[in-house]
Amino acid sequence: MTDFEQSLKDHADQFVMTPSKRVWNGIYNNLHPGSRWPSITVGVVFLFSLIGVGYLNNSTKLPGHPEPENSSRDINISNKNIDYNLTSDFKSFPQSALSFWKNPAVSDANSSETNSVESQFVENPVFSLTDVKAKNESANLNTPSNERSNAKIVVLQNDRRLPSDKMSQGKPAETNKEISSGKSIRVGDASGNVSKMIAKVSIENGLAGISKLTDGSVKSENRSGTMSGNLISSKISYSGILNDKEPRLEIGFENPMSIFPANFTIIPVQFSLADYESAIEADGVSSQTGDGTLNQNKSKTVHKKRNAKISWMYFINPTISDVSFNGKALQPINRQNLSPIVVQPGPLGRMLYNARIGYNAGTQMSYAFSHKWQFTAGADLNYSGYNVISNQVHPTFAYLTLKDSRTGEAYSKSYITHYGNGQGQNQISLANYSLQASLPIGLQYSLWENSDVKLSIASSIAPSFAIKSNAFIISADGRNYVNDPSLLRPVNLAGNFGTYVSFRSNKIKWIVGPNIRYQVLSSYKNDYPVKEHLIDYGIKIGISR
Amino acid sequence: MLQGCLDNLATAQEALYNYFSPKMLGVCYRYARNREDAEDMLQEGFIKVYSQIHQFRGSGALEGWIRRIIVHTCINNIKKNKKFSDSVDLIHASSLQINENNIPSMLQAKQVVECIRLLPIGYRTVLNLYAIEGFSHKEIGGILDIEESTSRSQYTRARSLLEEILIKKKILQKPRENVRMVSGSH
Repeated sequence: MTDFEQSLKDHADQFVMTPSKRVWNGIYNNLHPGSRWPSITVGVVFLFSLIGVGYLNNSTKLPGHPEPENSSRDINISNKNIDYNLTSDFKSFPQSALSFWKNPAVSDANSSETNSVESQFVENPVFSLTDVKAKNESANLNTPSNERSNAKIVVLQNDRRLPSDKMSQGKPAETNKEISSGKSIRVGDASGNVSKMIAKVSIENGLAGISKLTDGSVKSENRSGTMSGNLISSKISYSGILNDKEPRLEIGFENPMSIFPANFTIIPVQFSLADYESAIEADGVSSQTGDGTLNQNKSKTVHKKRNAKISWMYFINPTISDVSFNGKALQPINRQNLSPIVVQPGPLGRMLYNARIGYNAGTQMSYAFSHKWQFTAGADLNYSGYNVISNQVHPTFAYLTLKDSRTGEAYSKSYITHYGNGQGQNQISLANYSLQASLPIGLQYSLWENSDVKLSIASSIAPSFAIKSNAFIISADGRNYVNDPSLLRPVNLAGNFGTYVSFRSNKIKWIVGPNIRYQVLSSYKNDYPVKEHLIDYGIKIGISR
Repeated sequence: MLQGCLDNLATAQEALYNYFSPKMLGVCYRYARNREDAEDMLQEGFIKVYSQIHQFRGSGALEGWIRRIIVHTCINNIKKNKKFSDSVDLIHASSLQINENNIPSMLQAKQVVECIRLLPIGYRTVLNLYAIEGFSHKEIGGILDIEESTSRSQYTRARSLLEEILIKKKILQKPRENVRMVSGSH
């Protein structure tokens, strides 16, 4: 070994560096994997909890408690004593339906025979929703007042009838998916025949489907002078109320000729949606005494409807990415004077750059904890950056003057670079960019709203994790650009602010508005004294259900 | 400490790591593109050390044994990303220009290491293995999957280039054989 090589070896062997803590942490976790399982387990549990919460709050099939017998929404109607009442809203009912109710056989509430049902049932009766609590009145159409009952049935209005051909021929209607039990109505049949009741749920403008309901159990109830014979009850169930539209349920009978009692009565009531929901939730809907056999108890049933307070939005946000700089570069270390002199970069040290097109896309959950305020959380991907205008030069030495974040001492780092800070024939554009995954959390405030449109402002902070980045940094003398991704900060923090207009179109809710994203921490580690903050200006476009 | 590592005791392992890691990181730094890569190599190397510690027979110095594992780990990392070829380094080397005005001053050992790191990766690796680690050209050829002659030629070019850099930095006094570094006592 020559003297040169020996000297080289001696100097190299004297060189030591202190590793960061992550190195030992990585070694330890590899050697002792059992210790990291709790954190992984907690992370997995947290992730699945988030997914589960999101699924449950968006699912229309929620597990619920089985309805107890005789819940407040289960109304047993004796075939003798419950008369029907039509409200004034039913004046627009089809004549055939009205005629059904006017049928003398039906109005004979004392008859226990179902002898003339065949000629009576023409089409499906149509009912409407009304207020259980407040309204106990109805326009009586051709019904003897002494047979009128104050019992109430919560049913829903549907102005569409089941296909009469199928109904009259006793063919089962289409069977759709099962719908969960949210309310039930029991109708009685004194004939003792098992009946099948078919319900159709329509939502907004369309039909949700037709479900063939299961047979109810035979029930009898002893109330004085109220009923006799066996009751066949069928339960009608429907899924929760969707959106702001009034839910509709049409009741029909597969074979009404044989099962429909002559004196079967249903008392329709009309609800507003809010009243309906509050009625379902409320305890102790007043039971009516007298001729009616309304049987209502306090309900402990879980109200199965989608949690209206939580919503999910999926958005994309095309942006124009810009950058701001602050902080001052350090002058090269003077060998005689180890104190670095902080100077303002001169004209040659000024960076030439222009903005890039970026994007931000992700998902956001909103939880309304008050009428106006919402808490937001989500996850998104953000791409932003800018182009540095450079020119190609011969490979040359360049250096950066950095500051050791632990000791505070200035030091230089050398590079060989092909990029100069200038414009010329060999102009080239260098891309400085950052692809980050963020977890924003924030607040949203509703400024103004009506039934169709809502205006709100939102703000959030987002811890961000750099997935991929690139950095061309101007050298200490301002003449060149050097590429050193090791100076980039892997974890950052961003702030978002925007104003949005939300409106509904068909079944989708749109959220549109301008948004600004500002990177709070510098793109570079503290070693590099110049601070860079990426700024994104964009239009956020989101959809929600 | 060695027995504790054999028994997989975390305290002994950490003690061993704390004792040897600064120097080993310096070794990795000479092969790596940047500090992060060097730390990655160090981490991978020490994991191998602990997994193979039972193979250490105690015949030589533990430091030397650990160092060999670290060096081989560094080489493997480099080989993942680069095929060592004569032509690539020649092209790279010919385009190098040393601007004397831009060379800052540094502490001696760090200066030398930083100058070594300025070399193209192929030159640097051969120089590290031959001049500092003490491998023969034949061994280097086997490690890097190159011919022995290629190793020799690369080392010659690497040394010339390094001398030029060191002269520009006034660390070397003479640009020829039997040069001696400018004394930089610590």
